[in-house]
Amino acid sequence: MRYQGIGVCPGVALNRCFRLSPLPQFDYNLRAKQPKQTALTAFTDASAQLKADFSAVAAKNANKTQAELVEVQLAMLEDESFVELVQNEIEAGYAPEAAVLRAARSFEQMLKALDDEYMSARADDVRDLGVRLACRIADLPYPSLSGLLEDCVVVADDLLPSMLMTAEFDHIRGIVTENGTRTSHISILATGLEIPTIVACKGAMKIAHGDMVFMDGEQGIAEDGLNEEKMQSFGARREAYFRERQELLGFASREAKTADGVKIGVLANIVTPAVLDKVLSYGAEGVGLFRTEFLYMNRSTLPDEEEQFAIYSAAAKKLGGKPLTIRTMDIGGDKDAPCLNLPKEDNPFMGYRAVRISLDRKDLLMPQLRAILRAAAYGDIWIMFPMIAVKREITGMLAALEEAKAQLKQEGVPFGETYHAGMMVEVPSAALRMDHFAKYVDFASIGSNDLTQYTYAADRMNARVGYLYDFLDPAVLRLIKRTIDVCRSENTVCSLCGEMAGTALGLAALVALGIQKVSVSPSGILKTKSRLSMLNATAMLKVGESMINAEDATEVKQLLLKALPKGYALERKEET
Amino acid sequence: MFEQETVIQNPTGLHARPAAQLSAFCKSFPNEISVSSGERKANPKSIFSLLGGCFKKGETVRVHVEGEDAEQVGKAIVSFIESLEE
Repeated sequence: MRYQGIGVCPGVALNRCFRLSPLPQFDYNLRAKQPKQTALTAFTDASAQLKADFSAVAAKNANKTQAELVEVQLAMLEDESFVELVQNEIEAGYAPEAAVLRAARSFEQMLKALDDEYMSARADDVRDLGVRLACRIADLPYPSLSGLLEDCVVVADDLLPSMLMTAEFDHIRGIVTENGTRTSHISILATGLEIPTIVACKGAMKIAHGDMVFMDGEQGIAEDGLNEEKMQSFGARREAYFRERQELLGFASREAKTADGVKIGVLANIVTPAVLDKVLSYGAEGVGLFRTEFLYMNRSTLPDEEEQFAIYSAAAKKLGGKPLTIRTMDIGGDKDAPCLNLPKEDNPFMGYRAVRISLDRKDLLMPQLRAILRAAAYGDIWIMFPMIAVKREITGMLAALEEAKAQLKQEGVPFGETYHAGMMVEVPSAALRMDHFAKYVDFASIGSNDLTQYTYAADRMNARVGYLYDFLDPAVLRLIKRTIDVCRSENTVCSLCGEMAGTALGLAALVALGIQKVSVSPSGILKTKSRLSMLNATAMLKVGESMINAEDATEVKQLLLKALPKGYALERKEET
Repeated sequence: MFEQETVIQNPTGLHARPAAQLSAFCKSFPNEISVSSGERKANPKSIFSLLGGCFKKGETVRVHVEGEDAEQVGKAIVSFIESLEE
């Protein structure tokens, strides 16, 4: 059976399916059918198995998040008061799966009642432990990726960023989800980690756990029920894919420029500095976007100045003088960060996020700015402020930066005096008034994902309004062109760091509009260099003017296709 | 009997990993042990009891140990708390 979805991270995998089942629903009042002694044994057996699982994860050099999760849950599992409570519930006649859930719920409520933000994460831990135990007892799969022991393709309804962050990345060869979109956070994370990924893949949850599954993240297809013949042909495709990757590696040492010799900077968007080795080996000119908000997610405590300084300075050192663009935290929207304790909003993308929070919350902003300034002593740091919409936001952020500098100076803490300060252009108001904003900043970086969704008032996560979300529509192209043109005349560096630059037509359109720098996912660096090498910038620039005056996105695509060289590979159908 | 006060120095206090580590460490002793600060008293062999104590960075806690080798065990626990990092 073949399933079609949207490919968000290219790559080919042929592995067993790890089907992440939805959380099972348990009855907390289920009475035991078995004798009490049997029920107790069921609990102790499940507990022993879970301990063995935890030890296996701990022994495998788990990352910090995993290690914490395992250590805490193991301590809870071995806690006498927990064991006692489970035994009491079993004595009272509850089925063992209900008994563990009831015990876990008591501790969860106890921890929540402490009304301490630190404790709510532990309340989640004990609830999670209860569900894990109940699944063991009831012999149901527990939806977690933290204990993967062999290579697999993960198939799920949807993946929460926290699920991926606690996962055993090394074993995930591919991801297929029934829901999600190209720009949902799971896609961004997977792309950053270079895991072949397909989202919005209807029917994928029918793939059975343990079955061999083939997936192609470029074409967005997954297939199961593979006979020997298919296994062979897909095996050959995997080989071909690895060969092509090998060829692309030839671009690693080549400077990024168009066929007619116009240099265009290719940088990397990163979520974690762990990918920097790869980024450098692909010959990127640096990091065009480091999304620091991921430092704030999946944790109950704020990352302090020292922790951030350690991360930023290590990244700066690793880049050895190449630019490191650090975007101050862009929480809000759909990103969940328990440590910030933000109220839920009905319309988070239009609400309290990014600099709107930073300007209010000096306790968040100052440690980050201080850490960035201190890291500037170790490399070429570009500080970037997200979601700038009006003047007081950029002047406010720049004033905070000056304040951070003054503090450091007064305390005698060393920091870098030379750095660049810039802004994201992702709210249409910023693009429209770039002439005004340019005097405040050293650089501007266009965030095409948000700029597109804000221009058309279309939620990029909502498939029903997906027809509106098209960065090749002339309205977005006009905003991009205006930003590029104004920056050029004001001597402000201008780049683009959105999904647009990672697509064949999007990149061609950007070259047509005169972009000088793009920042793409690590897995897109070589491909982008290879695409650029086929484009004739002079010929493309001639199309630029007609593009912004086109009727619609369809006409823009026609104009582009007419101007593009024959060999310009369009590997996948560009979504319309 | 052993009793000594110590200041919690690690940033997250006796919480999460530190609490898990401390409970595992204390379980290795047969002694009756308590950690307290004012009215709040916890059994450090239980992570839930420790979490319930909400012992934070900068707080002074009293480590109390009963039974055999109380002195030795107590000193080991105090230095364990002082060596917590996260």
